Amino acid sequence: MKVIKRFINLGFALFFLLPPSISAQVLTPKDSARAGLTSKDASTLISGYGEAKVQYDLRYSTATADLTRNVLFVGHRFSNTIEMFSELEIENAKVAGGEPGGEVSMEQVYLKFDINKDAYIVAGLFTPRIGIINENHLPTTFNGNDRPFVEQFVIPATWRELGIGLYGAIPHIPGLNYSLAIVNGLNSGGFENGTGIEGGRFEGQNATASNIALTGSLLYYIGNFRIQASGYYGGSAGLTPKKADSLQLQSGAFGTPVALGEVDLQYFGKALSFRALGTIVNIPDAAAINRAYANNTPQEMVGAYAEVGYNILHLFNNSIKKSLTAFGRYEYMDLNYEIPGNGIINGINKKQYIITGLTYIPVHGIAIKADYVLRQTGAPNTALIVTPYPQAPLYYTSNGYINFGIGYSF
Amino acid sequence: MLCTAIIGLGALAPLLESCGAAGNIYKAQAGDENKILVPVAELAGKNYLTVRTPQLNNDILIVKENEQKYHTLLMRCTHQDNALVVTSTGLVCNAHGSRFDMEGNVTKEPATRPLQRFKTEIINSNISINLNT
Repeated sequence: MKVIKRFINLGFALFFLLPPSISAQVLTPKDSARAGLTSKDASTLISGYGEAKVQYDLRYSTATADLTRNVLFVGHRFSNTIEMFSELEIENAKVAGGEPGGEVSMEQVYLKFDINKDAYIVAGLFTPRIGIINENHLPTTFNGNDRPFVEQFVIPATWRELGIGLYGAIPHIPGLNYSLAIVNGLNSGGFENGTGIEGGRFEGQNATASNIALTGSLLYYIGNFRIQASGYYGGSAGLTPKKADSLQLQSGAFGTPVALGEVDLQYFGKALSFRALGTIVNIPDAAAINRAYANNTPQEMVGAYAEVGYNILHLFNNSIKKSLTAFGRYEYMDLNYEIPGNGIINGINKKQYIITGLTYIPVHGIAIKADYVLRQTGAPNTALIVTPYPQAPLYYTSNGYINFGIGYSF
Repeated sequence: MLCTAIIGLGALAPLLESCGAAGNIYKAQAGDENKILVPVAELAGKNYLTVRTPQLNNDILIVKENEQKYHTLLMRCTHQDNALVVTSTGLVCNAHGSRFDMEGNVTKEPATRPLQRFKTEIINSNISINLNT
């Protein structure tokens, strides 16, 4: 008892001796609410999310475990109308010099300027409103351990670039929102066959601003429905006119363009949920890009998916805060939907996925997931393998994966 | 071209300002900095009303429970303080997809805490919202 009392007294002493600024510098949202601070007074905000999973490959009978990502968000309000938002992401737990795997990156860093209560401007590194996952990618907001594959390969989320954007709501049409952004363009020299335009992203690192891109969206809420259409059009040369000429690429702000269109629909009922998305990417100068970089760029890619989910616990207690969602999702994509004359078809770029599983949310902010993924592709084009590795494992056009994972966000 | 585009975006701001309060948004007059008064008549035939006040960075949603009882919600997401959009079935956040019901309870992550409420009462045919609560 005497030891306990001494410990308590020491704790109080330390508390009062500590400089008050330490406990007041950083406030979690909960602290701000308890302190009675209004949005005018709140200073720094901390948030974050993370996910981990174990995957069992049914064909190869192997399993892998990975801390998929951990993201720390820090935001700061400078005034009533100016805020800063940042997201620091670590993928695969660590980055060790010289070893493969892992990534540390800034997912977003931008300033937000409120024009009025209906509109604001963002400037910096941000994820434009394209698709569903690009903005809504926290693990507690989607079913399955993997983000939808169409939005990884075709769109490709999370896609962030440097630029400036205008976001707002239309007051005269309740529920209608818009976004319009100018960001740096892509680098077609980074395109790789099988990963779409993913390799062409700069993600805030030494991006060429010689070519730019425009993105825009209309987002409409009506009842439990969320309906969105978005588009992207930007250049991908990013070269000096002389160098572009030598590679026979169109230079300029929108030279060697990439165009993307997307529509999606979501429904959130008390128990039933539904989402569907369709997207198309068009690269009209794919032949010129192939000639310049020999990277087998496709001229057109398409993808679509649809998912239905149902909260089973709602059947037993419709007021319960927990949820156990059983879901099923079908995805289809063709990363070689159209190829230029100098392109090469590769059957594995035509994929479909069937994903089914459970997402258990015991308390808001925590997700425990289990799912089965069936992946089917066309046959690989062996002519594209210049020096085949003799010990290379067989490629299976149909393969199944069992995943277990956890996710959190706060 | 980039400079022209940025200037164009800035030029849109005054137009957006002039859009101002539409029929679904009630502009509260600046008065007692701790209270907002909204005539009950503003909610005639409506289940909810958005109130805009210069005293707060975010709008307030008045929800009618019945003709004699109302409650109010601060339209600020409890995840990362983004402004919320109201629909006939609840409130949604554009930033990361959080959803709240008309009671302010979280129905979809990533928000985990309910919306802030204010003490709301009817005084002399006005809905009085106490911003200090």
